[in-house]
Amino acid sequence: MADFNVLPTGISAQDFGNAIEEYAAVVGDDNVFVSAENLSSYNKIMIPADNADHAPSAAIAPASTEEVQAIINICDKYTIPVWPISTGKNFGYGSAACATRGQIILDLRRMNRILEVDAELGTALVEPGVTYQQLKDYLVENNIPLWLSPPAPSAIASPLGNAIDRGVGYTPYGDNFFFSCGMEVVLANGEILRTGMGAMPNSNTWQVFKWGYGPYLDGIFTQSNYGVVTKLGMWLMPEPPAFKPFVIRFPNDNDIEKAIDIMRPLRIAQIIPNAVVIAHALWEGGSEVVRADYYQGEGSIPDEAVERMKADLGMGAWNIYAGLYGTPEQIELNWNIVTGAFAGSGALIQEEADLKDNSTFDYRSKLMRGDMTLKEFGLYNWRGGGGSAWFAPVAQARGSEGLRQMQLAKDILGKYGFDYVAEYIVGWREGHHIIDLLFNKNDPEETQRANLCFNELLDEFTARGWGSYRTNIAFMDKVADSFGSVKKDVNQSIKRALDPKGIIAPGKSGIFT
Amino acid sequence: MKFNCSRRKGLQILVGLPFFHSISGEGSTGQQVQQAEAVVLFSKVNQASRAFVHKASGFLDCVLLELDLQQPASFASISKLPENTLIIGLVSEAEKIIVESVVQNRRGYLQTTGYLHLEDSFESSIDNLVTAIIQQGLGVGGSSQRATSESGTLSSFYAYI
Repeated sequence: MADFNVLPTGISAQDFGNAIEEYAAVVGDDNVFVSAENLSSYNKIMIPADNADHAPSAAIAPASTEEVQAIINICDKYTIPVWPISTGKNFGYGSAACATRGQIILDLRRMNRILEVDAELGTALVEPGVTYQQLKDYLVENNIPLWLSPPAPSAIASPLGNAIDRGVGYTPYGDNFFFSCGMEVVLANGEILRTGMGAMPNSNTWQVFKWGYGPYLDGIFTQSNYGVVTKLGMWLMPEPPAFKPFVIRFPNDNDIEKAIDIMRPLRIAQIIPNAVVIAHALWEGGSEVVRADYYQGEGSIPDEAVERMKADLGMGAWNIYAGLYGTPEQIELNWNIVTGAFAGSGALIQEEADLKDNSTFDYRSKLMRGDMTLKEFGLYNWRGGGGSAWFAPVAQARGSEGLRQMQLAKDILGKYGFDYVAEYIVGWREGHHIIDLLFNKNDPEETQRANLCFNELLDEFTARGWGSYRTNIAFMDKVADSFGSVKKDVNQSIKRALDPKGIIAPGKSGIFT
Repeated sequence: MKFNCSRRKGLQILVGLPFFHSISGEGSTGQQVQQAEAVVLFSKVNQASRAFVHKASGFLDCVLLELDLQQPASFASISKLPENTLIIGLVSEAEKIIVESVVQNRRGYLQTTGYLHLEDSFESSIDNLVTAIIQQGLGVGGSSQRATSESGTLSSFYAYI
């Protein structure tokens, strides 16, 4: 019997060994991992938490839905929990690690088939292991003029994984779950559910009509643990005849109020149709330069140093990245509306022609047209040490609200000596306020301080009624609690109905049986 | 191509008898990368990277691979390298995170060996780093001792994929 470093809770080494043999019979020995060395990458987490609390007992990599079913059946037999990942690139939310120690990582990376792309209808059907780069390459190689809407880790991330964690991209199709259509889900009893029109045998409308008949179920399989999503339908944006990216820079931190208030009606009316980013200088500069070049003292980076960096890089305190899409005539018309709206605001409006060889503008432009870039990873050079936790409260798209959230976040981060590295991603009527709490994970004291800081951010934002749209694996319970006991009870009731033994991802979004 | 005589090579290094000669050069082609036994990754070609590869080439057949966050394809080559390739990196923290995720896809095991401040007297630091990386990468260097402090601007590491 093999030695296991970590066992699932309540499972004997003997039973676990037997289960491992059964998994291997399904996927082959080469796709079952139990050694510490092979499991280390699944436990490489950037968040301020003890890696040991999130250590897996094994990892299994199936290649098909049928193999997922067989694995789930074995898990059911032994009551072993599994934590599904697509490509595991959920960096600031916990990467590939499980919420609680001892789960098996169900690594779906080998399920990487692009099952269908319909160029006329603008739809795709993909498996979890497909990456944005893979899908992009497919579209280019087959000369299909459709765009993707990747998040910042673009090339290496999974469209399915991002959509079911309700992530965002930056094109007009930026809300990736909103633009999904139809799922295949392996349930805890081993059955396969196809949602929407896919439930009907021989239906050809699975990827074109979201709602199906009766209750709409897709939502309960996002940010949840009610099943293993093995296929996802996506809507892809037709390449527009023309695209005009631009940036609008405001000089002062408090200008966030103006930035949001001017932007809101343009977004609601769809004059600006894409998921707009309003990036703070430290987010922009942080992906370009390193902190030590501007400040090496204790505590948060002082305003004076930020001003020097802004001057060096030619950026504002807040930088709105947006795009216009359509025919040249449509763009010209909307450009006049946009420039008119910001006239007299004190903002600097810059177009592509003003920003030749500006690498930050270049990467933002790429994201707004669905191209691949990894430039935003430069943020991890800002402070160094590889620690990152994304705090992600939602705000009304109202300037006064954005200003209050910024002030509160800066106060709390400053108290713990961290920098306000943040951006607002503006949807139609709200903003995802994404704050990257960057710290040195090689330093235990700093890691502990980051943990306390994240806790206080959650407490104080919750106290003001500002909920997080997403969080990392160490804080899922706490965020679930912030949405109240009734919501938590309903989540739990659904869990008990669909997965009474709690074998699929216990702890995901704070949901247990 | 297998990298299958690592310990012998490592012993040669230890006794000061370089076993391989450099065939490296900037702008490696995809074919070169796929045929490499050791691939040396850099953030960008500059004075530090040249010093690094000059030292490393004394020990191993190396192919340089320059990484660029704006060009995800520059990372894609790593996923196509032959099994058991030794990769040696001198990259920024950000690039290391991505390399690590690519190595993870290949079931590789990435081991950090040191950090480097570019403002340091980097030539001597690089000599030490290269020696440490290669010795550890070839399995002759004992435990993963750190070559420099942990707060440098560049990370060095090795991994087998």
